Amino acid sequence: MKCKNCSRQVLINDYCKDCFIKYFEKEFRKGLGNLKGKSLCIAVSGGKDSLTTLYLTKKFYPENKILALLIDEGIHGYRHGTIKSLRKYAVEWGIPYKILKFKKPLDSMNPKRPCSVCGVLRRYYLNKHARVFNVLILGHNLDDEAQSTLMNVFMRYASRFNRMTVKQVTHELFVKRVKPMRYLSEREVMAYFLLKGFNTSMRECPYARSSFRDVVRKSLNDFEYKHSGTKLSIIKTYDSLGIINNPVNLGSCNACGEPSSNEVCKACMILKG
Amino acid sequence: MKVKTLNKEFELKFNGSVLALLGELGLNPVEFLVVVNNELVHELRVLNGDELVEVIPVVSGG
Repeated sequence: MKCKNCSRQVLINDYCKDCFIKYFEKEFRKGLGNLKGKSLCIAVSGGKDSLTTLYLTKKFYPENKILALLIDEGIHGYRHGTIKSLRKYAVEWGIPYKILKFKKPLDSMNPKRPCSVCGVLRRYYLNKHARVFNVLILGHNLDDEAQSTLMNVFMRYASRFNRMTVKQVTHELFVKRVKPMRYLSEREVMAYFLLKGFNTSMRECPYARSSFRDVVRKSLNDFEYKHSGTKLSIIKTYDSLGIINNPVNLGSCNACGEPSSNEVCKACMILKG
Repeated sequence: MKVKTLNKEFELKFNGSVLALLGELGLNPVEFLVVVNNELVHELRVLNGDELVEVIPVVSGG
């Protein structure tokens, strides 16, 4: 089989190696948008998605002020490997980084729904510490976005559904988000990561298998295998609803003052235990 | 051939494509990439007996 752009041997997605890399970087660049002159905080875990995001953001905006921000959740034996990778690549690419830890390690909280608790606290700390930057860049890929969309439908989380990937949130403490890999699948991200010769820990979070997301992920991947293009269709359908352009009005948490859709934000509820 | 996954390494007698190998191992091709002798390969690539085949999950983290 030949590449759809040139006559070379196809490698992935009907592209040869070079044309795939060009396609991937072009899509990423489109997803970043115009960030000229903006200060950028990049949320990183040290995994393939965030390292790819870090590398390409720096490639396309070498003059911008950039910080890689890692939140260490306190999960035994899990984060160590990716922190090592972040340190290595941040130095190699000349990007400053900061590592913050959960006040109470996730393991010590012994939560019933660890992924929900982890997600709430990570978003809370990221928003709080990215505040001095113009934009918070997230490495969410097409799979993450399609899963979240379905999860919000399955769980009847209408308000969360309505504020996924919105362009405008009317709260002065809420940092604008950009997701440059929203239309790039997890498989494409991994292929790019491998083709660039990057390396990191592939260890899975010990809590991941017990999550609702994991159930949705498996079902969606089975569906994608039988009906190629399903994930992209979910996201394109979401986009066509026009919700993205609706401004979201958030209030402030009565306890900490952070943006919240409730009187007391979920992070405060968790931290007070 | 020698097959390496995230958790284990084993010898396998197999002739066929990458796609067929994933099927043989009961894996969804959407969730895996295959590297042969340190090089990413297309799913229709035919494998021969002497190669080192790494099956890499595309899902990592949480």
